[in-house]
Amino acid sequence: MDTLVDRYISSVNDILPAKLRKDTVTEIRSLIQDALDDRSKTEGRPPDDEMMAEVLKQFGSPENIVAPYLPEKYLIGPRLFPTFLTVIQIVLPIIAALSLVGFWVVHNQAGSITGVELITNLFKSFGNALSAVVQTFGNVVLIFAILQWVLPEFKTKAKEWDPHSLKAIRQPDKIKRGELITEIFFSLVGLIIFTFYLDRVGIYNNINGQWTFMPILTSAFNAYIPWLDLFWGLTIVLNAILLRKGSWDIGTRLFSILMNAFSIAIAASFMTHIQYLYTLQGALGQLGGEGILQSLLNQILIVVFVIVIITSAVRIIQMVLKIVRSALSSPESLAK
Amino acid sequence: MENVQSLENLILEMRRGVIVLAVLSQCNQEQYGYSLMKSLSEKGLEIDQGTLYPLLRRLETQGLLSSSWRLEDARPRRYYMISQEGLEILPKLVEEWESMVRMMRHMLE
Repeated sequence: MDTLVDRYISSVNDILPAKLRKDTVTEIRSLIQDALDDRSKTEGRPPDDEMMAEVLKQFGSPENIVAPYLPEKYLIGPRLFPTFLTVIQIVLPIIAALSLVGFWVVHNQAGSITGVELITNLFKSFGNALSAVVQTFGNVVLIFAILQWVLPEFKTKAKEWDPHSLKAIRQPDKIKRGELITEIFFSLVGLIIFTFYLDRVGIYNNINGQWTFMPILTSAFNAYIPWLDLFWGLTIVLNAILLRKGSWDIGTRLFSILMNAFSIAIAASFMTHIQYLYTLQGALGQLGGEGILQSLLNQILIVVFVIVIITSAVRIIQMVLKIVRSALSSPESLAK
Repeated sequence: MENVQSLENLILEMRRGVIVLAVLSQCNQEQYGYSLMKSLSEKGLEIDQGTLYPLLRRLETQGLLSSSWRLEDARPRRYYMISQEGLEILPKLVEEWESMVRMMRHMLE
């Protein structure tokens, strides 16, 4: 009959990797036997089940005794983990946004949809996005696990460290004046052109020294003008406030979140109605082929709008994170 | 209760630092795991099996101890002994230990 020690050794044997098994198992058995002999001598009786149980209890569970013998193993080790986190923080929101946008592009091409279909699609799109995020997470983990496996000796750079190589402290609330002024300039240009010179937006051609003009925007585009004006107007207001204040605060961040949501809505609407908003009819003169050109251009514009949507979604996430971080690190929250 | 726990952890941490020196100092003659644990315990240093045995392995990997298996009473036993490298390092560790004791005494006066 197998004793408690035999069972213990058998469990230890099962846990240990083959490479360490023989040597470690022999050693642990020898140690237990020594402890048993010692106790047997002290108590003046031969080892029995009860004595074995007491000795084994001192050694701890098989997992416990084996743990210190095992080398530390990580799926993603501490050196790679910060990079892994950064990649996850960047990639997952982009995948989620792409999946959502992709779903709505495909499902909106069918034309008008009912309320029930809209709700069903809403759930489906979130389901799709969740599944894409989980899949991407798994893939990123796999890539990092392979890196961890391939580069077990992933060490910090051996060259001498220079304190001057330290990065300047990031000031998350600091505004970028150049960027804000450029945005104001382009918003003003957009505002002026689309408010006062809409009829001059089109294609200009010089044929035999004679300038010809052909408008390309359709009347359907006119419905967007007030929204575009509002968007550019609000962008100018937000940037002016930021320039005046000199830094971001919770109010301007919330304002920016709304503006980015607004931008997503406009880009999504443009994207789904792109074929009605402009026409190249007659733009190529005798060459013809405007249909092919317009369809090509539509594809390019859709990619541009997808980029706008993703950028805006990423900005919203960044703003939310900054609001949460500043709330968590505020003196009030630290005092709690 | 929490304070008692953290006191125990602090003491454990302090002892952990001296275990290597204690083990090396006791291995100038051949010792098998259990005999070494008993010898340390008799001198007042209680170490549990889970700490001592992997430490012996580690010191062997670092070249400070050497080991050999021997069959005694039909049972294999692994004997550890300080290596040449360990013998060179031990006096330096002792010197460092004494200087730390002097420093701490001075600090706590």
